[in-house]
Amino acid sequence: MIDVAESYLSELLRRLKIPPAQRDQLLKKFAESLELPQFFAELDAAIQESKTRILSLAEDWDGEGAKLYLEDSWLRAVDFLRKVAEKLWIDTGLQFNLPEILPGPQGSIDLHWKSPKFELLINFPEDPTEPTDVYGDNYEERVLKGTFEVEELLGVIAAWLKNYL
Amino acid sequence: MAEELPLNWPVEDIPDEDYLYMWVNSKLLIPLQAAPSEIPGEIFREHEGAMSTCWDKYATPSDALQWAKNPAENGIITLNVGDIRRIPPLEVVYAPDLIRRIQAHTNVYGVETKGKKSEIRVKLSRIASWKIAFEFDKKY
Repeated sequence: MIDVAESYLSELLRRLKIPPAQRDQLLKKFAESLELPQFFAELDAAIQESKTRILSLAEDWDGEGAKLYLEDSWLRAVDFLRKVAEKLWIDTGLQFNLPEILPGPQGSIDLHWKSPKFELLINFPEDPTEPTDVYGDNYEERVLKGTFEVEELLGVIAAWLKNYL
Repeated sequence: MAEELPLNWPVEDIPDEDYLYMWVNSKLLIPLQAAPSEIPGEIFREHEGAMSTCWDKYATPSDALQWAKNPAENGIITLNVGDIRRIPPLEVVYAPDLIRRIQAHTNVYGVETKGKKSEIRVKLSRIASWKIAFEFDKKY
């Protein structure tokens, strides 16, 4: 998403006929202003750790016939996580507490946030044609629940998390 | 004399005030949390259409732990039957396992209901508590 922003700016400066040297300087200043905080390094580390932990689970890892996990399922969940982190940071300059990335039922992947202010669980099914299954609340009357296609999920979750940053 | 397998155990209704025990595989717990007091919703899942548990009328937490495939890799949680039934559409049905000879075996149906899977699992995690917490530094 940050790459997209940079390419839009580059194109805009080109159309405004800004000289190349000046254009490069402006782009450099723009990139510096977007310098990613340490949070994104921590997010990447958490994502990599979850890859090792979840994808190494063998068939019947729980002794009760559990399935192993497909890399594609894991990728859909962590790609979404990166996108929502970037969106929130670009929109608000804020970061959220890292969720847990966990092996869900039947080969699905869970993203789970739990804090004193709210709890949010997003389940990404193994079958990519199935919608995600979401439940979140603030332990009181504010509730988010339902199934969402991944395309609409980003806006829904970003809006929800903004309330608790 | 060889011990006889009972022909069946009678059908019984489980009262709301009773409790169920369920084993929790340590691979579902993030090691950094080591023996967490909180119970993640991820542990609640079905196997062959139901979530297996043990009724406390016919089992202790230690009994339930020994019935896990690898007891050293598990902990035990407990849930109140009435609290489970108050989470729609969950059902608690006594279902003794004649093959494994577990009289206490009980099924909870509905945990992976389409469109409510996440809600149900979050709500179950809030009514569950540890009976035998898994210790990550335990050697096995």
